[in-house]
Amino acid sequence: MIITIRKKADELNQKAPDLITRSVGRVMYESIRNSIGSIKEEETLVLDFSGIKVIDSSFIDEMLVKLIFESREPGRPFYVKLKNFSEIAEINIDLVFRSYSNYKNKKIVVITENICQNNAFYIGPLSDQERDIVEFIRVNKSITLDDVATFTGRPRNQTEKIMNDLNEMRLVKKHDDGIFWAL
Amino acid sequence: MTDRSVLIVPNRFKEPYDFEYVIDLQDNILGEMKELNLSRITFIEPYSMLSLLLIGRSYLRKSGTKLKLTGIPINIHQYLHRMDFFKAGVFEVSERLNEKLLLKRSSFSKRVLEITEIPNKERESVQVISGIVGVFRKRAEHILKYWLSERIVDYFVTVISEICQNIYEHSLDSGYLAMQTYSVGKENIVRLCIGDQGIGIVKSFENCDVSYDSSANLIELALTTPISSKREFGYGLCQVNAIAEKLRGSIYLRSGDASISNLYHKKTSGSSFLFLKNNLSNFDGTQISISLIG
Repeated sequence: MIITIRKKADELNQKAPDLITRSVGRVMYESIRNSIGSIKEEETLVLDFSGIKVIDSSFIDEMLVKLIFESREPGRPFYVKLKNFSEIAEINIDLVFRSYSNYKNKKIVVITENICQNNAFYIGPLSDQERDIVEFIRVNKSITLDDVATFTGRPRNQTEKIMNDLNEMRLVKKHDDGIFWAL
Repeated sequence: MTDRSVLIVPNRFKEPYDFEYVIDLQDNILGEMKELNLSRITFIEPYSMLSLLLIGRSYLRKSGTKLKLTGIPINIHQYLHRMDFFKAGVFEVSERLNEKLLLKRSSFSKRVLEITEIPNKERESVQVISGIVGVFRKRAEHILKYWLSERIVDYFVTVISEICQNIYEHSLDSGYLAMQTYSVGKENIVRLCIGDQGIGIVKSFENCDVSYDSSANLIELALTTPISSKREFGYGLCQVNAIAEKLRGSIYLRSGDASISNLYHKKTSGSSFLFLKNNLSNFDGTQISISLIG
């Protein structure tokens, strides 16, 4: 499912190109929630930010952070991916995610379709190992646990934990047959 | 015999730290003055202008009458009028500026954001912030003439948004914003200023579990770590500080009796240009100045 944020903003009478303040974030979050009522389990929700310049930390906190936590809920897990975001949007998202992760000890990271300033396809704090694995899956599309264990040179049980953590963060998809997929 | 109800204001309106001399006189002004004589003022920058406005508002709130401004030099009067300083209605001005001397808005206006009141209610404030950002985007090529890039415009939109939200989120008071590009000697300066006379940073954290050594230290923490007096996290000031660092600008933040200056434009590798000051004369609320100097 793709949601074009600019279109949503127009529907909500919010002045683009800047989506700022908590109240605008709350309105946007509620509207997106209504739109994803029909999203299937394991589906990827792509948020397209074309035409949007600034999203500030308040908007991010009320909209994106909440949406990512909702995607992690066990009832109907889904995945969030961002595309066509501006440089400042990326910087602001990164700050919010890093602050949250540092002080709450709970990582928030989001996969992106565009390459980011960290030279990778995600925004937020990942370890070098996690970063390599996310990139490995992005390039290969689908991989097994053994592929990752071979790639990282780590024991299978350690690799399995990392992969499960990445899946819980909704950065990789895990199918019942044990194969991991890129978003 | 000197009139004890008239204060001849010192010419200390050139920089935020310079304005401390005027703040030191605040008790006198609020206590026994009826008139401020501005005849010695040769220049007034946006932070000092907003702070003077806050003093006037304080006086009005306290006494119920307006403080009188006299002896305003023509160039200062033109500037204050142009920046909508008198529109706030907190001062009485006896000498009106001749219409012919008013600065035309068509040319000069593009380099400024006039003084705008930020309400202390979320709903109204969100509309005002959106309006300010809209005007800023229209005038950005003039305001940021010496620094113009789409990236820097977006940075400033973030800064305006973050700081204005702090007013209604934390200060429990309304505040003012102004922005201007101007030159001093060979230096071009763009300065964004926002100020309120609310509860200030220290009081807003008084029921929070944040440990600090001094008021200035708490301001430093608010600027460098995502602490918040209202939520689990507060990203706003942190983000503003990070942007000032990226742009190699400077921040002056004053709250209550303390201030912090972060001079990134003077910072070289490994050095620190962070200055904390405690035990200043108390000035209610929080006032911020963010500048690019080039």
